[in-house]
Amino acid sequence: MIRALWTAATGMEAQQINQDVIANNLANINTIGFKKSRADFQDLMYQIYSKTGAETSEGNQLPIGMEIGMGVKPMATQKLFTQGDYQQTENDFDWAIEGEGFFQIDMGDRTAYTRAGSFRIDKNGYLCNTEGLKLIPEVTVPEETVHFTLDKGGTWTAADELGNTLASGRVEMAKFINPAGLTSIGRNLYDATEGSGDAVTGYPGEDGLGTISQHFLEMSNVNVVDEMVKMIVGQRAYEINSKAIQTADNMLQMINNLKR
Amino acid sequence: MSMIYGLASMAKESIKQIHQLDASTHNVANINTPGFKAERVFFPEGTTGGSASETAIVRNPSFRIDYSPGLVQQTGNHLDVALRGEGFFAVETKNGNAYTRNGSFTVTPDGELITQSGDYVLGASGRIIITGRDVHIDERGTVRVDGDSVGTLRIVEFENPDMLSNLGNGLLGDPGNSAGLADKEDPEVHSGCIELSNVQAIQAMVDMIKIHRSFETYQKVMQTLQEQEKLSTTRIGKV
Repeated sequence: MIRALWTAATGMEAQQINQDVIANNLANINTIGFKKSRADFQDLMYQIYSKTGAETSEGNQLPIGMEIGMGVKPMATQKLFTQGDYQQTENDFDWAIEGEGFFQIDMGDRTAYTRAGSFRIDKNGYLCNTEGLKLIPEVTVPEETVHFTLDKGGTWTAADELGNTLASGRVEMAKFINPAGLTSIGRNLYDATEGSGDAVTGYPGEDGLGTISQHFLEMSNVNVVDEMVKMIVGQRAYEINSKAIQTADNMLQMINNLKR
Repeated sequence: MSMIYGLASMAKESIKQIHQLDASTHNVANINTPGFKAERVFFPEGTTGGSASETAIVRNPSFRIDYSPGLVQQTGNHLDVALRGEGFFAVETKNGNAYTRNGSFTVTPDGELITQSGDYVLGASGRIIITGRDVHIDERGTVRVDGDSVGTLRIVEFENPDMLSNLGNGLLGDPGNSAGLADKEDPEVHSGCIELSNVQAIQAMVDMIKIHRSFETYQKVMQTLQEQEKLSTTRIGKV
């Protein structure tokens, strides 16, 4: 059988995965703090027909051998942590990170990380994300609070009507040496992995961590035009792989028609 | 006898086209593989005529890797690097050193810089270990963690890159140490970018059409030869 059939099939499969990743990016175009992904591919092993430098039957050395590859395999999906756009809101608990870093979210048994700084107060006064998971370190907002302010360095102050401070504290953020190695666990959250390295925590604006802007939200970093272009490229790549299958199929058919 | 030889040589030509298609399809399958370099199979001319040796036709198939640069795409990841101009990143695999154009790197739990398939990225003095907060790879390929250099990516070039062979996983090897390895002088590295595949869809499409049509021609010749043979066995017999 012609190997090209199977080789092209790996190509089509890779493009399908590519389209799945693009579709997920596009679906999250309005998701706060969402970071787009990219599918990574690598070429499969090669079949060696003749080795470079091998000896021929006449005793000459082959200057260049021949090896033909077997296609492609999906290798990894990587998150791309480029900055998303900002959107201004009126909410005191909408915080956007300018620069690197993640908010830390208490998952009970472990810490998850997020760029989505859309928080609210639960019934006990704790600041939590839209899912009700607490921010680390805990921020407790007293009931009588009227003014809540947060500066770029992450220092927050809750004050009453007259401006008397009721509570204050400082938000901490986490940073990874290789954020692309984080895994998404859905709901805008990421888990640390071996590839990302351990989280290093610190205060906003210090040690390379970004600053926080109150009354802003970081939008998704998905760019529609980019994704559309990638989708077109992916579709055409899928198509050309299917053409390769057709070509191989046609050639096989011709071979079969040789004998009448 | 000569007709049978005609058939056999046409069959060999057809097989060549199948090899060509296999290679072309491999390129097409890797149209989105970062750092991938297209390969071309070719068959040296001049061995078909004269000698009646049938094996002469497909005796010396060769391939050549097309090292032309691919487009560069921005990713924004600190550990993605693209190499400008000729050259390769050196990596350490289980089976010795290998070379790649795919600069999409990551780290192990111990902070060692690796490729996506887990091979160690080599610096000028061995593996590169990254532990700290902030990593940045500058234009010269120097890896800086929190501002301090922890090593420089080893970037090499070859006098005769045609001697390299593909190992898969985006890697090239120099099994015979015959390609003329040398450290590249003044390399230029762009971080936050990756090099895309250099496969050209148009080229691939044209190749496929060419292969298809050549194959068709050989098949037609084979059919004609068969018909002639049939004629000569039936008609000549009648006379």
